[in-house]
Parts: sequence; C-alpha cells; structure tokens
Amino acid sequence: MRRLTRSFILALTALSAVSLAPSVGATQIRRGMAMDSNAVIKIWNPSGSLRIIAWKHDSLHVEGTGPKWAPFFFGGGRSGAKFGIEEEKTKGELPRVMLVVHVPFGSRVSAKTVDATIEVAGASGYYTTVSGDVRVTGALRELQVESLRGASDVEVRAPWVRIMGGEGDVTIRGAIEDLAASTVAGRLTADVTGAARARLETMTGALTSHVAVQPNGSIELDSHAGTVELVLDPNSRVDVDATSVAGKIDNQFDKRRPLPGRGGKGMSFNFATDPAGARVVVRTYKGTIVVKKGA
Amino acid sequence: MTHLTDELLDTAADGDTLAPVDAEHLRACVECQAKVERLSALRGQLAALPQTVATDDDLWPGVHGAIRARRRRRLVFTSSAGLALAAALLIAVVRIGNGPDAVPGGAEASVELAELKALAAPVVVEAMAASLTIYDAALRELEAFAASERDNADVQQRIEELRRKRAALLRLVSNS
Repeated sequence: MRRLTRSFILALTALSAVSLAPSVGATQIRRGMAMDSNAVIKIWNPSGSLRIIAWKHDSLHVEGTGPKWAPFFFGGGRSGAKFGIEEEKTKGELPRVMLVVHVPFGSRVSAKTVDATIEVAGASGYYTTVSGDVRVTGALRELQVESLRGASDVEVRAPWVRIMGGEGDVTIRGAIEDLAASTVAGRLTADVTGAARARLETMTGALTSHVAVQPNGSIELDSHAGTVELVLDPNSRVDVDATSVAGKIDNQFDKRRPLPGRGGKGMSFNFATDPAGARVVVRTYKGTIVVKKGA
Repeated sequence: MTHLTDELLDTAADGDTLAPVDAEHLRACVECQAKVERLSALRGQLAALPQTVATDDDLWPGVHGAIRARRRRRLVFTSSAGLALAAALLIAVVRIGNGPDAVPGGAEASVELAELKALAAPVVVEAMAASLTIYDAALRELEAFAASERDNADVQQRIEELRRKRAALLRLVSNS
C-alpha cells in the first residue's frame, strides 16, 4: 500500500512537471516592474487567456506561456505600462498565449482580446473582446466590459459599471450604484443591490431585472422583442410605468390588471407601491413584460 | 496627466455618464473639455445634415477601392484599420439616415457587410453581422408599424433610439 502511494505521488509529480512546463515550441513569459499604485496598464492578448489579478504591491508582474513565435512586447515606466502580442508581426495567425498578470490595486487596466477569455479579480478598468468570455469579480472603482459574442459574468461591488454585450449572455450580481448594461440577442440578468440608477436593454434577448433600487433612484428596462421580467421585492417602494407597444403585460406582482394600449394594440401598466418611491420605467416593442414578486 | 481616451470623449459628447474618475478629470481639464465641445458641435452639424443625400451610384466602389489599396492586411487592433472601418461605418450610418426605404436589410445589409469584410478581421465582421441583422430586422418592423400609425410618437422615438444604438454598435466595432 505504502509503495503504491509513493508510486502514485511520483507519477503525479512527473505529470505536474510535464503539464506546467512549456510544451515543445512554447516559450515562457516572465516580466515585472515597479509601478505607481495608480498606474495605467494596457494589455493586448488576442487569443488564449488573460487573467488579471489586483494585488497590494506597487508592481506589475506578468507571467505566461505561448508559442515561441508569439511576438511579445513589453514596455513602460512607473506611471504606465503596455504589453502583449504585437499583432502586426503575427502574419494573420493569432498565437494562443496564456497570460497571468498581477497589477496594483489602484491601477486602471485596459485589456483587449479577440477570442481570449478575460478573467479579472479586483482590477478596475476597461475590458473588451470580440468573442472571448469575460468574468469579473471583486471590489472595483469602475468597470467597463464590451463583448460582441462572448458571455460576460460580473460579480462586483462598484460605484460605476457599464457592460455592452452582443450575442453572449450577460449576468450581473453584486452592489452597483450606477449600472448600464445591454445585449443584442444575449440574455441579460441583473441581481443587484444598492442601485441609484440602472439602465438595462436588450434587442431580442430575455431580460431579468432584480434590482434593489435606492428610494430616489431609477430603473429603466427596454427591449425590442425580448421578454422583460421585472422582479420586485414585496417591500419595494417604487412607481412603475410599463408599456409594450405591441406585446403583452403579465402582472404577477399583485391583482391589478394592465390596460390594453391605444387602438387595442399592446398594453400599459402603471402602479405605485409608493408614489414618492424609485421610478421604474419598462418599455418593449413586442416583448412580453412580466412583473413579479421576488423572494 | 493622462487625458481621456477617444471612447470616453465620445461618451461625454453623447451626454452619457462618465466614471467618477473621468468626470473629475473632465471638470479639471480644459483640453479635454475643448475636445468634448468640438465633438458635440460636430454631432450638432451632423444632425443638421439633410436626411436624404443624393450620391452617384458608383461613389462607394471608388471610396472602397481607395481604402482597400491602403489597407491590404486584415488587422483587428490597429488604429488605421479602425479608421478605415469607421469610414465604411460612417457610410453605413448615412445609409440608415436616408429614411425608411434606406433601412439596411437583406441585400443591402449584405453589401454593407461585404464591404466591411475587406476592412476588418473576419471574426469581427462575423460577430457584427449577427447583431446588425437583428437591428435591421427590428428597424424594418418598427418602420412598418410607424407607417400604419403615423402619429405614434413612442414608435418614432424607438426608431430614433434604435438607429442611435446601431450606430453605437458600429462605433464599438471601429474602436475594437
């Protein structure tokens, strides 16, 4: 038994060594430099993966693996740095590079990818990708995410958040004061507390808003053809104005009935749990609006 | 001092909320304020342009040919590619502004995308095509509805909003 365990550990160690070492034709990236705590950092990694982690040190550390031919560049000073893959030199083929980047907590990051996934922990900034998935967590000063095709999953505590999605789903959780998010066809789900202002929009994607809004705050929900689900907590103090130009409204919050729209087309529904409460405006062209009670 | 990026200046000129740190910078920076004012003024001038613009049918191939000659390589992240793309997108936006009949869709949208293929990486064009198709279908739907209810201000407002969002999407691609 003991021999078996030892053999197993040896095999595991050998396997780890093989999997952690750069494969044949691969190269290891390792760079670092001292930086100001509020430095600006720009990253370009078209393909592969990008992990950005905010740490308490006033320094930047970049580690990664990629093919030997990947033209990695790195430069900057205390107030800012720029690094990544020099796309002009890739001759059309994007190298898959896995980067792990540690940045100072107070820094501001701008990262762009084509299909590389972006994973961020605690780093404020602007993250954009064509088709990579984006996941952001932590307490941030500000956050902006743009993804045309990838999914975005954001779980943050932040005063200001902007998310623009396309076909991918967007999921937002946490405490956010000023939130604006949109998708084209992707599902948009927001489960947020402490909002002073929230604006959520889709074109055809389903939209679910469970946003606890401040008493003098506002929520705007808009969709062309997606179903909009407005989830209100039983003790919400809100003044709701919902209109669908050509769709239906289904009130599951209480027993009030929405009214048919002009000329019998569409529906409208206005009610207030507190006329001086937060303003909630819901608009669709033909998407159904569902008002329901939260847990 | 780091000034606001073009995207942020655009956002400010659009009247959208900036991140607190950017708003603070804008309040203190005369240079950025001037840029935002210039952008806002430009927007005003663009808005004042006639809704219908008569152009020669063969204008676009010439423009396209000139751009193509300069941009043979397909890059995603270069400013020149972005500018070339923006030129094509501007033409796309002018097309949208040409009234209900000019809402891109079907054959016209595919022409627009074919032109973009020459300027942007396939992955970007592909990603944009799906979204544009949805926007254009929605615009056609709303235009048809508006035609039957001419005094419906809500629908007119939605159409304007959609055009603005479509233009914002194109701008997003040109910035990527």
